[in-house]
Amino acid sequence: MRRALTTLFLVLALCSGGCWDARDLANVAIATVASFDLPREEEKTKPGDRVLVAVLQPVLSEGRKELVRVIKSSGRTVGDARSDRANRSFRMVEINMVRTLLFGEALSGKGLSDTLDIVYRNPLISYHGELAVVEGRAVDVLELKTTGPPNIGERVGSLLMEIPDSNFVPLATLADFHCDQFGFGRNPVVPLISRSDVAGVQIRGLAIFKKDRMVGKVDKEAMKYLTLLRGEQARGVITFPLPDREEGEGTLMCTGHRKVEVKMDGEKAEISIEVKVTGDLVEVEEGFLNGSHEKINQVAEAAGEYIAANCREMVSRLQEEFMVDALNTGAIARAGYGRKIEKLDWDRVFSQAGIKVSARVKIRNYGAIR
Amino acid sequence: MRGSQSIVLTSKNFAFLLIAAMQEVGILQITCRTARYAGHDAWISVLLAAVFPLAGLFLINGLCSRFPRDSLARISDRVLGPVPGKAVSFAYVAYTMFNAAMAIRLFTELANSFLLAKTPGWVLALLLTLGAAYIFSRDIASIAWMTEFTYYLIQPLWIVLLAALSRADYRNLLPVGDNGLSNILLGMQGAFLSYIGAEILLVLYPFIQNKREVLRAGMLAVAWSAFFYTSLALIVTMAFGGGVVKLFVWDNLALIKTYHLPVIERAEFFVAIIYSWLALRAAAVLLYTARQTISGAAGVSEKYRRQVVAILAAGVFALALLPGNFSEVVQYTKYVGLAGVSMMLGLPSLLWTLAVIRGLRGT
Repeated sequence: MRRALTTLFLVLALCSGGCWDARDLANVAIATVASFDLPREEEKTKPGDRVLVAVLQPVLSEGRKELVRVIKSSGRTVGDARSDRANRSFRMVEINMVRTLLFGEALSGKGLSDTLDIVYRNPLISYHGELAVVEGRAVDVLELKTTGPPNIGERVGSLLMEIPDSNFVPLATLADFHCDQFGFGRNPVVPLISRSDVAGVQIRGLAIFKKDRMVGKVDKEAMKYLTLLRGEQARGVITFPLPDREEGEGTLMCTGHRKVEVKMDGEKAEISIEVKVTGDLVEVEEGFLNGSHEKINQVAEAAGEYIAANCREMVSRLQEEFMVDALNTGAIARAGYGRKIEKLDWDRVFSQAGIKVSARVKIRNYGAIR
Repeated sequence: MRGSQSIVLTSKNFAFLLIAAMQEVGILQITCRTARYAGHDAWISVLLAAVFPLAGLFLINGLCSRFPRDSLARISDRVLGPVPGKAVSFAYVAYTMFNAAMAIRLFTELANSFLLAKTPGWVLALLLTLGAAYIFSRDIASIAWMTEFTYYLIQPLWIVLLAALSRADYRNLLPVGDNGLSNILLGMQGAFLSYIGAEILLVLYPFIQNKREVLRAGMLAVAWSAFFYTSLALIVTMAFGGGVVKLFVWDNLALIKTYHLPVIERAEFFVAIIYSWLALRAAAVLLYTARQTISGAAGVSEKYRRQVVAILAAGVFALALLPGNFSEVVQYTKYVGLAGVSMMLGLPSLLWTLAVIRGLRGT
């Protein structure tokens, strides 16, 4: 009996550790999305504030008039803004549930290093939360009024979570950004979104970063080829011209991966990228295929040429316009040539490298009836 | 101690006790600690560091097989003489208490970071110390059973770790050995904390039934731990790359944070709770050996077991509160790792050499 009581006491004692951290849900504001921007003058609570932090809190109470509430605060750092928010909030803001982090374009252009430091350090923030850059200001997305459920936070979250399956938009998580920001020969890319009158938010393309600083953006069409070149796990649709037709087009629903080889000659790199695309031909001009195996091969070849041409254009832009290795080929060079590569300015090496791009398409299927 | 204990442990029991003593909360940091020197070759450092407990097992087995019915307190008395012998025994007790205290403190830091931010650290340390005290006040067979039970409890964590393979890239391990032998060897010190524990054999040897199987059981325990740690280092490095891993504080939990599991959602919280057992069982096993050694060295009879347990628990609790912050905890655990290697290799070497020279043997 005494042993049982002792055991019971110890079990209860071990559980009692949570008493200090117990919280009444009624006194907690659960945030689901956080945004970071450069503050406007009227938004600064004190001179010298450099960041505007906003969190989206779903309103769960009955008889609510609004779906969400946006809590804004500004500060010299994110921590300082948090302190400012605490001075004005009657509820403690719980950040465990934050799954989406949005960054304004202007702040991203200045660099996210200072903003993300507190995010990386905070063990409570999910490392698989999705990131996105917002064209314009991120807080404007949070403040968008939607007519009914789902709320804007859920819309943004679903858009970022589901898109890898639909349109070659890579899923960029906090962990991905961290690895690309600090890993040698790597640079992050993050989905670029904007406000939309119909759905609330929409994908606009990809934001390209040089480590923590956004250096450019590409539109939705170019995004497909950048995603394929990076070898990201994503699916999407590519529409390409059919061979021997002036206006006919085919549509591939496909996924891709890549094979990269980097050869170094001193500080000069020769990079070869083979994009391998596998998918179904879901749309093609009436009567074009006629069940011909030869025609299908011709279509695959035409699709491959089209993808390769677009990928080459994307590579040229990366080398000449953005001058940044958004394809993470430096990490592959590092794996092949070791630490000595780390002494090089890899983005410069990449910009001056000779890069060969080829694409191979494998058509897995071409439909059920025709 | 001599002849006072009945033979109660099987070699399997010993293997589980050794695993419990080695695998404490430090394993959640093993990759980032080694990667600070060895970069993406951290896994090689982790694997190579297994040589130390293996060498320790050989040495301790060699020493104890000369004194099959004696534990450390008695052996050191006989080999070194009463005063230096007792000094050695008390040094072992001090080291063991410090090791147990750091195991408890590391979990306290983990819990304060991930789970219970507002709960005072001393409360968590006190609760764990009380739990450990209850366990190490029992006999060794009960503790062995507990370590075996918790061993199986922790194994499902493999699933959680293997799920992280989805973001693994084998190229993050290339080129193998690129960080150089010196850095790989330096990196081994990051793994010491997770490999010390073989010194418990100095105390447990007389309890083990089949002495011929001691070495094999110990080697199996070390091999399993080495496999576990090396797998961890490989998965973490493949997922993040050597340059990023060294930035982490709790690399293992960072890995688990990279994906979300249905139902469990935030798996890192779940894992952190389960890992509390690591601190508890490591502290309990280590303190049991301290209890036996202090009783043997000071000649305290079994009648005063509770008092000895209370003194040890109070000491461990105080030591767990000694580091002022997490940085000091990391520094102290480095000292514990180095002291552990000395206890595992230096002490048995010294005693065995002197015993051979003086031709001493147990009865």
